[in-house]
Amino acid sequence: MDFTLPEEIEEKRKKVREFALKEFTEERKRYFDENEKYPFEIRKLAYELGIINFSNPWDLLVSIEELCRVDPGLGISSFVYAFGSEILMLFGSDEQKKKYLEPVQRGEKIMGFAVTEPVAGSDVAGIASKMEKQPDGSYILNGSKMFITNGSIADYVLVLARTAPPPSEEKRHHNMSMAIVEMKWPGVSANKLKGKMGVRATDTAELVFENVRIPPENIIGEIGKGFYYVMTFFNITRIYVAAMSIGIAQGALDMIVEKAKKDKKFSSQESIQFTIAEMATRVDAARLLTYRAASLLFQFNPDPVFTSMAKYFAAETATYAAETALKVTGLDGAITSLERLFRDSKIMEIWEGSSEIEKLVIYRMFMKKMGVE
Amino acid sequence: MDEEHRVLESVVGEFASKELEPINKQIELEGIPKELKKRLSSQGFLGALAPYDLGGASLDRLGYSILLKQLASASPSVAFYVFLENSFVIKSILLKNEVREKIGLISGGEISGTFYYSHLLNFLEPGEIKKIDSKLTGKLNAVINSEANLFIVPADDGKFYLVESGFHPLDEHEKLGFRGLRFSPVKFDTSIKDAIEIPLNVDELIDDTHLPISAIAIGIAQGALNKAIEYAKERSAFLHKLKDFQPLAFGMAQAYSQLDILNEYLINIAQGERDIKKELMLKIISIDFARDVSKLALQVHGGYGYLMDFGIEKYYRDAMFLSILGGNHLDEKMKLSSLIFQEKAGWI
Repeated sequence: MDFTLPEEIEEKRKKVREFALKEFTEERKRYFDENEKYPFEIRKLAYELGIINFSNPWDLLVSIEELCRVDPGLGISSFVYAFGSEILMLFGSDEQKKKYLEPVQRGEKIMGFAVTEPVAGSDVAGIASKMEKQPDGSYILNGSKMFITNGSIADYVLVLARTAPPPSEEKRHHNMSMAIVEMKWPGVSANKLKGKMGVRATDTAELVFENVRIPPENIIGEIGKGFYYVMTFFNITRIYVAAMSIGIAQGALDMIVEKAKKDKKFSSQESIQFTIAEMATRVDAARLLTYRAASLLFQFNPDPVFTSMAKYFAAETATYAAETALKVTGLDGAITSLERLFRDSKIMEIWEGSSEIEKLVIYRMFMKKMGVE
Repeated sequence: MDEEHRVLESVVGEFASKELEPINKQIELEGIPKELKKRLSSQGFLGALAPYDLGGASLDRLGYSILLKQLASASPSVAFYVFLENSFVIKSILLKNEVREKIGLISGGEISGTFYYSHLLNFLEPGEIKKIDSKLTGKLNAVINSEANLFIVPADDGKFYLVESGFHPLDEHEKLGFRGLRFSPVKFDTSIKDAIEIPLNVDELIDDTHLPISAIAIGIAQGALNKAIEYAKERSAFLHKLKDFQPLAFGMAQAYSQLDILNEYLINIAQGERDIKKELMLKIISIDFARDVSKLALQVHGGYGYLMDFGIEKYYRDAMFLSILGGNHLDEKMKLSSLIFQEKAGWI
């Protein structure tokens, strides 16, 4: 067992940290947060400087950590333009990859992933959007989606919808399919959601689909397999959400260490020393859990128990660290970026599977491992 | 609780739901509107602690706690504003006969005041006001309600001064909570002729805030939990209402029980003899509880809780900000430890 990352990955970590510290200035962090604007220029720069490298998963993982360590809103915006691309990589046709995936990978286009609905968040199988097959082989999509990352800036989104009613209540996850929907198509509209508590530089929207015609070549993979594709996708992206969370937790730890450096009276208190010790331990534990889950995933052997453990624990560590750092640094923290880390951190426990969903996955899959069905 | 206090609870509760809830988003985005300040005044809330002869409501400790709790359950910003005006500004002004007439202006909502105490919160860069020749000059950071007309501020001679001119607020700080109030540094260049020394004992003033801050914290928890309970009754997932799932129901039932116990404790302390130890105990526990419950309420709401429109996320931010502005954690925990051990404790 070797707990070190390859030298080139550690070098990349340093490079990304330098980039984030230089480009995510206090003024920019505050501007994009206050104005709820997506930072197109920063995304472009991150791409051009090779900060985002989708071809090496460890490279991507540590980059996400370092970007979110400095600012989650700008950090997430820097790499999330390819959100959903794993679905196309794994299940898309060659034509779909060429037409839709490659422009995203070249940094030219922005993609989104549309699963959540106003009445179905954690309960993916509860979605109501429908794609109905037409005599000419195309599909007509109707429905709405909620909290869609990149929703108002994406060129296209991957949509999950029902292509047939569920066979039974127990099999509600059957008969769902995925399709690529271009945002410029007639019947597609996006309403940017404003007033998020955190990650305000990222774009989030509500999407409405009214009689949107989808050509058959835009159906992803097999009809009826959409739910499985989404779960496969979550098994990948939860690792990256864990990485965002570690970045936030590390950023909060950095802030408390900074105060301890400046204020000897503060750092001489044993209660503060214990707080820092506990926080450092939890951040490291979250990182180790995440790296183990990532290691399995990157060797094409993902383990949903470890993945969900990593996401759940890292997300809780992010909010714990941000809350604790803010509480003990007081006004010193409240008038700095730590205040933003606190607001940003909470979404980690909600998106890409809430903590409650992660616990359900852990329980079910863990018991299965234990031989209990 | 006697009839008089029950009526007060009901009146303030109705005011909170009719006057605050509908404009909560406006308060958060644009600050507390002038018209609302007038209505707070006409209800006697802005002069809650001022004596009758100065136009106040002269509430007792229980009445004041009920007022703050009920206001905080709908708008923590408004509750903190009422608290600031009463517990700091009016109480300070009452100590100086020559300026007592200003209380009528504050309780009438015509002017607002603020009191600077951030330097007592283990804050590294509070700034400073120097008394040089005929001037009070300098800058203070992290001033809450920095758009006030009247400031009570410390100078480098160790005294507090009331000033009404020669200052201007600078650009706002990051704004974690109480967004209805401006939060920024303020620059002072005030003639000493216009500054009035206030002979206050700041330790006593701060000690008197434990109970009202507890009331605000309990109000925040109450507001957040009520919304979460309502939401859990309405929202479904996996073919069941959220309330039907054990982890959520048990978590909210536990929070409800704790809230009820804290509420009872608040009422008992507020009606009894002054007891600094109990007040401090209540404050420390209430603030932690407000943070935990507001976090739980946000989690119950899922993605919707993260949006301002649902009125939940403000409780989470405000609870955290209250824990920062509510006192100096280290000093107060040391003080409580010493009160419990009845000798110096918790100092290493």
